Amino acid sequence: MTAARDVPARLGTPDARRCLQLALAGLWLPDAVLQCQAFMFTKGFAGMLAAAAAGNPGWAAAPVLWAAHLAGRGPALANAGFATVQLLIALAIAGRPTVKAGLAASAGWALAVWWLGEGLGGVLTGGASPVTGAPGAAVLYALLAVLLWPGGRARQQEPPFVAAGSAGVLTTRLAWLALWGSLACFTLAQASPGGLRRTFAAMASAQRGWISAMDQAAAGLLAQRGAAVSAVLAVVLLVIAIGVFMPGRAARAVLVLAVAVAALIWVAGENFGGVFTGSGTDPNSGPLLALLAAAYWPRAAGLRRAGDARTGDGRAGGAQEPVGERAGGERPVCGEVAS
Amino acid sequence: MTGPGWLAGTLAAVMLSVAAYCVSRLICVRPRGRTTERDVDTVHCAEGVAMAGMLVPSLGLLPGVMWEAAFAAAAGWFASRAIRARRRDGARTPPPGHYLPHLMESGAMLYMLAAVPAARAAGVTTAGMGGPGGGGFGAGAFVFALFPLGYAVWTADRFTALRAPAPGPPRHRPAPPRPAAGGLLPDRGLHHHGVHADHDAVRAGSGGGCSAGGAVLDPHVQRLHPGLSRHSHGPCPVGERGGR
Repeated sequence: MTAARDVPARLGTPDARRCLQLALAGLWLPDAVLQCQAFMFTKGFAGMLAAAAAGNPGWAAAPVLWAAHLAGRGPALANAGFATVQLLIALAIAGRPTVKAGLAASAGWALAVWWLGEGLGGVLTGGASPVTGAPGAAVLYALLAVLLWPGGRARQQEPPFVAAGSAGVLTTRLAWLALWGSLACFTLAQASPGGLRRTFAAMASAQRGWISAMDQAAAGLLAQRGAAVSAVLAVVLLVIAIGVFMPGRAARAVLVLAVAVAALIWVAGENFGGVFTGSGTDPNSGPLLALLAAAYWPRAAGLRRAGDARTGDGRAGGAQEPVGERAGGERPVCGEVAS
Repeated sequence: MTGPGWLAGTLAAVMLSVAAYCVSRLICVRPRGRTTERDVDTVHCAEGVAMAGMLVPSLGLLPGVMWEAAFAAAAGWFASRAIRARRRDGARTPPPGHYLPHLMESGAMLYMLAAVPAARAAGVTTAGMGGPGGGGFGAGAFVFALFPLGYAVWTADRFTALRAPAPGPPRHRPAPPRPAAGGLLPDRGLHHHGVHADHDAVRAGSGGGCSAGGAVLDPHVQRLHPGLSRHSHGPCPVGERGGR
């Protein structure tokens, strides 16, 4: 009886990849909830979609305007459909038999939203800034769906981090480099003495209460210091971009830095994705960047093995043991991804 | 409340369907020899009816104050059950984790019952809330909306983890259920559909350890507890399920 009662705690405990998949499913939920706001059922939502076309080249703007026109013809029905799709994606990822379908739908839907709803995140407009969510939250949903794809590789050799399980270590590291490197480029492209101040001042007018006050304070702090702050931020983003190529502990330190930067961007720059404004459609890129960092977190056994290799001890860490493999064959489970 | 009329009507119909389902569970559980949680089903039924009334005011059966009293009592009940479970089972996480969602649901009902009349009194209508910066979810509403949805995601994972066939060679067919003896009863866990099936399994170890109907153990669990395989289609300990 005692044994039977001990089983539940370990029954089917999800491994690290599954935990991250569930986190991704959990991030689709705010999207579905926010899609149910009153504003989304009005023609104003179609207007918001159309605004995403501004500044984009014709070939990119035309589909955005077409989608906005369609949504404007029946905003309630279209929006109910959008909310339902997002909810179904979350539930499909959460269900184990449907996880692949859910992730595929997540990638496809997110890319469609990235183009038709976010105007490719503004990356072609010259106005994209990571502080305000570039390169767009939707494309990060798609990237995560690919990186968290289940199975694929032989289980005997667990990858050094979760994201590498789907596309290989080098490919996923290059994807990280491209993402964070592009964020650094966008930051430098937007660097100007008053650029950040104007950004924060504009955001303050769209917010209420303490969030608006926080934006106003940030705008005051950044007055005439925008270029210097942008340069520092760009350097930090570059360090993060190359951090995943560093050895285990250094990589972990860089990933912690990435999470901190993501949190700072989310709170100060994105104002929690504008979820309290009545017109926010998703929590924006901050939580997704943090989740991405978790997917690149080096496994503990990989670090042990590296340490053993340095000390020449091949027994304890298992020089013969595949990277990421645990003693006794246990898989890392939720909560241990960071161990 | 925050959309076109047809949407509110559709959602009200869904709420009433859930309430009817919970009533059917309460009615059918005994004749069919199944187990359920009467308090949970009762509260779910009340929630369905109350929310239908919020969505379509003409469906409101009781005044708001009575609903508030009912859900305050429900919140107190689930809080006390969570505390008792915690005391009984020590640091084991599932029992308090089991009652926490129901406690949150009752809290969400109280929040909605307080927020809806306040919004009406303030003249906030669909049109009034329909603009950027003009309104939206407060932090409380967002938390109360996300918690049950996140719980649904977690439950979906747990439930399908129990139901999903494990990869690998075919396993032995389950032995027919043995007669109850020595304090053991045949498990009918997987006839207990719905969002509580995972609790039954996770609390009592019945999902992998005692489930019938083709469910198999997670291979990870089998590695950790090789001796469990012989119980995987067998009986469940008495008291693991009946006491709820």
